[in-house]
Amino acid sequence: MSLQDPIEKGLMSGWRIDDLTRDDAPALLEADVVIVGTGAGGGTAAEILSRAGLSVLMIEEGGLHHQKDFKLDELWAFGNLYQEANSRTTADAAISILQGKSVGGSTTINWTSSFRTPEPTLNYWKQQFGVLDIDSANMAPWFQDRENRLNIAPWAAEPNANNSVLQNGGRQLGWNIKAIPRNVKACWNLGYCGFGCPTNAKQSMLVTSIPDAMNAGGRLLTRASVSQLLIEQGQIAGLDCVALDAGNHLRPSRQCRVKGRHYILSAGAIGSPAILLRSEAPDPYGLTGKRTFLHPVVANIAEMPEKVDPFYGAPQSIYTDEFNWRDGNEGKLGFKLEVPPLHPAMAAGVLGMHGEDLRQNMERLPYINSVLALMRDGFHEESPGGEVKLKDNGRPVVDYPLNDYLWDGVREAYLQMAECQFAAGAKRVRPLHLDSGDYRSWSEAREAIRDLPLKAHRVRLFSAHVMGGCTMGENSRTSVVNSFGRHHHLNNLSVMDGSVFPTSIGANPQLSIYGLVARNASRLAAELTG
Amino acid sequence: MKAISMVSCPPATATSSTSGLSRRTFLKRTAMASAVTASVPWIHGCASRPMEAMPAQPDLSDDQRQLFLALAPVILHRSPEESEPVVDRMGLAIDSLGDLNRSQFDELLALLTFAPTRVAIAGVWPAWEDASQKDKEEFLEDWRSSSLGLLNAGYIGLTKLTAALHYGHPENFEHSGYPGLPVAVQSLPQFQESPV
Ligand SMILES: Cc1cc2nc3c(=O)[nH]c(=O)nc-3n(C[C@H](O)[C@H](O)[C@H](O)COP(=O)(O)OP(=O)(O)OC[C@H]3O[C@@H](n4cnc5c(N)ncnc54)[C@H](O)[C@@H]3O)c2cc1C
Ligand code: SF4
Repeated sequence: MSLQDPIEKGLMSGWRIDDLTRDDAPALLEADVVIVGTGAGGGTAAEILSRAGLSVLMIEEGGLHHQKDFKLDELWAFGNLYQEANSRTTADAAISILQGKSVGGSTTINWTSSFRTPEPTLNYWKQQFGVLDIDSANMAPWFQDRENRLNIAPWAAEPNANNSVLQNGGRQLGWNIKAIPRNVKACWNLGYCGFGCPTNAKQSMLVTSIPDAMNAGGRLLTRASVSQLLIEQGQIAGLDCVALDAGNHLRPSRQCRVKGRHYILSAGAIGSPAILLRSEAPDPYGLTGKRTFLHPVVANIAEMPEKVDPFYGAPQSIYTDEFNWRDGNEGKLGFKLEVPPLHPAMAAGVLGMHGEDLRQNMERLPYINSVLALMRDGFHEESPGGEVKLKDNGRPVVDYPLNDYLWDGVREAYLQMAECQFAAGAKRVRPLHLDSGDYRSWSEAREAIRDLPLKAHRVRLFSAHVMGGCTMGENSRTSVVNSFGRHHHLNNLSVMDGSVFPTSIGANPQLSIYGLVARNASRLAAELTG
Repeated sequence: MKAISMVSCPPATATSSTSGLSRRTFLKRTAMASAVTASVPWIHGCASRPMEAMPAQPDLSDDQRQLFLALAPVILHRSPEESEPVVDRMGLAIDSLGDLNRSQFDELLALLTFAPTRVAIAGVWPAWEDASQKDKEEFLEDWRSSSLGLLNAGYIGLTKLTAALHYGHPENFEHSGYPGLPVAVQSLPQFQESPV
């Protein structure tokens, strides 16, 4: 039954979990396989490797938060479950980046949309990056395996009113509108997936793969930020972690050294390249951290005549790919249209307003719908992505240049979203852009959006999907790891998370990570136990 | 040992000597109206000063408090009394942003609270506690509409944190028409007196 919390049960059964900020934390740990990060990639790898009989240690810089803590408190969630208390941005602060930081990683706070990697994306990786065994036929069993494990199926209930705006408007315009597959079991349709699911309905890593790994004898070290890998003669000889406390402060006085036979980086597409860079891992062609993709997001808000209560109900249930591959894989920038939930703090933070404008828009929140566009970056020479770099203090930051290729996609997305919102009956529409006003009709919006100046800091840009930075491929001149996630220059190191993707996905990435990591971890398990 | 290099900048507010350099750099930049780059002072531009991790600093300084007491009512379009609780929560919120963003924020606040830079970059002559409604409104509007991305980013930083701290607090849910938690969740174990 869904109310049985697997973490609570595990703690009672004596799981081996240490918190590095505590006095009793170990200073030295050993395991067959050491996994850094417990998100989509780390959780999946841990499940598969521990089931294969290997001793697995998971290291996570965030805390262990679970059902007892998930009380639908938005500000608590930002502070405890999000990287940098949800204040992470790109280097010039032009793009806000949402990423997870607790056991379960971003899967603890994600919105449950679960798509297989689109076929054009897999084909592009095969053709352009020489990735092996990556076509749909090869990958289908791995996606199927994870869909079974995580109970992934198209959302069968009615979409909430917020998502209905995209459904109704899109149908009016003759778009191909579909239901989103979600990784949920007995979902209460509440809408708080981004705060830590209070019912455990969301089949995140926290309640599925991580408990599996722990029940198979795995071990977990929390509040431990991996600072660097110790490299000796083309091998990882160990790694060091520093305690990171609940208030996001490093505590250099508490450290732990960890040793293993094999090491897996699953710290996400900012964290994993950062660890390689801090460790000065061999990188003869300077590729580590390059080709970082964000699915840059732009959004419109619309005031609807009836309440849409954008804070209630399954947050994402409707999408359209009408504009995603309209111009082919490598043409103009394509985008996927979806709907985000809007709770008070998130809404207040994204609007980019103050004074009367902020107050009036916030007072209308129950009537506000939002539609967003996920830009499919990385498929064009003018879309090379960004780069993860280290600040002098060792902290990573993504530098993501913005150019006209992106802006053309942004303008097109503003237009399509506005037309859709008006088609669904919107009274007014406003792109999240510092120079935008409220547009009362589609014709007014069309004219005004054509003239909006598109540049950094005027356009409100977001990303919840960080990918790339440790590109996979067979050629070590163009990739950091091979097709199966093994580092080209360090033979007991793998990367298993969203950072291996050679481009963005063109769809919300979690199932792409689950499927690919299931494949690569199974192969690694066979090698290590064989 | 490399782990030591993963520690962070000192708080810019702690001493005047650490922030002096950034103020000069900043003034030079604005004077030249130079293109805004990633090396701007408060956006991920903290200088190379590897040392101990930043100590916790959960309280605003007096100057910072005056700044937010002055700005929060204008940002939120609410009375000083209604805005004060946000200011009370601000210190802890900034402290928990993580070293990188916290040091950027500290730099921004140092520039806005140090009189010469307040005048130069915010155009506000009187101290914040004496600034008129018009001064404060113009400051926010100037930063919002500026063609310098740097100022836009500062505007977003100040308004986003203030607005999120206000609207995210249960006391203010009615200000956004958010009815609060769905009733059904009250049956969940975490809402019971003694969780199962
Ligand atoms: C709000 C939100 C909504 C989303 N919605 C969806 C959705 O509906 N569908 C979808 O497909 N995707 C969604 N995503 C994205 C998806 O969750 C991520 O793409 C996916 O989880 C990435 O997996 P990962 O393994 O690469 O990294 P993550 O899941 O981010 O995990 C990385 C983990 O590593 C830890 N870490 C980082 N550095 C270190 C270090 N140095 N030492 C120790 N630990 C470290 C982090 O704390 C984190 O827990 C959403 C993301 C967010 C933030
Ligand atoms: S909608 Fe509610 S119950 Fe369903 S997965 Fe999300 S948070 Fe959990």
